[in-house]
Amino acid sequence: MEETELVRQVLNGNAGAFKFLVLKHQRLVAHIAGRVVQQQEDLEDICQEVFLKVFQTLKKFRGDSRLSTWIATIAYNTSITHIRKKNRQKVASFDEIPAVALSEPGPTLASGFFEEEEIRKYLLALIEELPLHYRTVLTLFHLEEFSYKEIEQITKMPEGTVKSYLSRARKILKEKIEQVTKNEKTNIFADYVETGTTF
Amino acid sequence: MSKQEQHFNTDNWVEKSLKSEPAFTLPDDFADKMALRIEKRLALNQYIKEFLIYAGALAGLSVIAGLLGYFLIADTWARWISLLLPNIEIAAGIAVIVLFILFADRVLLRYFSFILEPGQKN
Repeated sequence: MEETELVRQVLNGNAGAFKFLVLKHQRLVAHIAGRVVQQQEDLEDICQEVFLKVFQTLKKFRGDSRLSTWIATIAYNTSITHIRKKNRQKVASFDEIPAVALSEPGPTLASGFFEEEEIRKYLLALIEELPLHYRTVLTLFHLEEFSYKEIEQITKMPEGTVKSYLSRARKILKEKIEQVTKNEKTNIFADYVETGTTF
Repeated sequence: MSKQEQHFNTDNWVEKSLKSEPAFTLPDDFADKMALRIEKRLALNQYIKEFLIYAGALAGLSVIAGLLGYFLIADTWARWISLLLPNIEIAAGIAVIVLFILFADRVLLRYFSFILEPGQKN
C-alpha cells in the first residue's frame, strides 16, 4: 500500500490501516525511543504515546517528507520530552564533548574465549554508553538509513553537526576498540585480527 | 598483520555493530493493542457525534414545539413567556433527563458494551 493511500485510509477511520502503519513503523519508533530513553520498561508506553500522536496529527501530514521521517520526528520529540520530564538523564547540548570519550573504560568483557556474538554485544554496549545525540544520529543514519537532510529534519540539528557527531562517534568507537585490542588481558580483538577473522 | 589491515577490521566491526539491532523490543501484540486503542477512540467519537446529532434534532423539535405553542396558545410574546415562566423548572428538568437518557443510550451503554466485547479487553 502506498503511503498516501495508507494515510488516507487511516484518516477515514480504518483501524486495520492504522494497524498496518504501526506494524510498518514500530521497529523504527522502538529504536529511536529505546536509544534515547534507554529504559525498556518505559519503551512501550512511549511508543504508544508516539502512535497516538501520529493518529491525532496525521491530518497535518502534508507529504512533504517520507511518512517514516515524520513519524521519526514525533518519536524523537516524544522521547526527549519523556527524559526531560523524568529528569533521568541530562540532555547534552549539541556541542558537548562526550564524557565517555576515551578516558573512561566503558563496558568490560569477561576474559576467556569470545564469540563474535559477544564482541557484537560489547560494541552495542559501547554505543549505548555514548552521549544521547551521538547515539541518536548513529541510530538514524546507520540503522534506519536516513539521509543527513532527514536527520536534520528529525532532530533539528544542523547538517554539519549531524556529520560531525557521526564522525566523532565512529572515532570514539574505533578508539575504544583499539584500546581494548591493546589490552593484553582482554585480547579478544587482537585474536580476531591475528587470525584475519572478519564478520 | 599490517596496521592497515587491523584498521580495516576495526572499521568492519564498527560498521557491523552500528547496523545491529539494539536490545530494545516491543511486545509481539503491540500493533494489535494500538489498533484496539484506536478502534475504541473511533467508536467513542462516533457515538458522541451521533449523540450530538440526536441532541440537535431534539433541540430543533423543542423550538418547533415552542413556536407552535406561541401560535396556537398565546398570541403575544409576553403572554407566551408568562405561560412558560411558571413551568420553566419542569421544562428544564425534562430537558436534562431526556439528554441524560439520550447520552446514556447513545454513548455510555454502546461504548461499554463495545469495550466489554470478547477480544476488546486490553
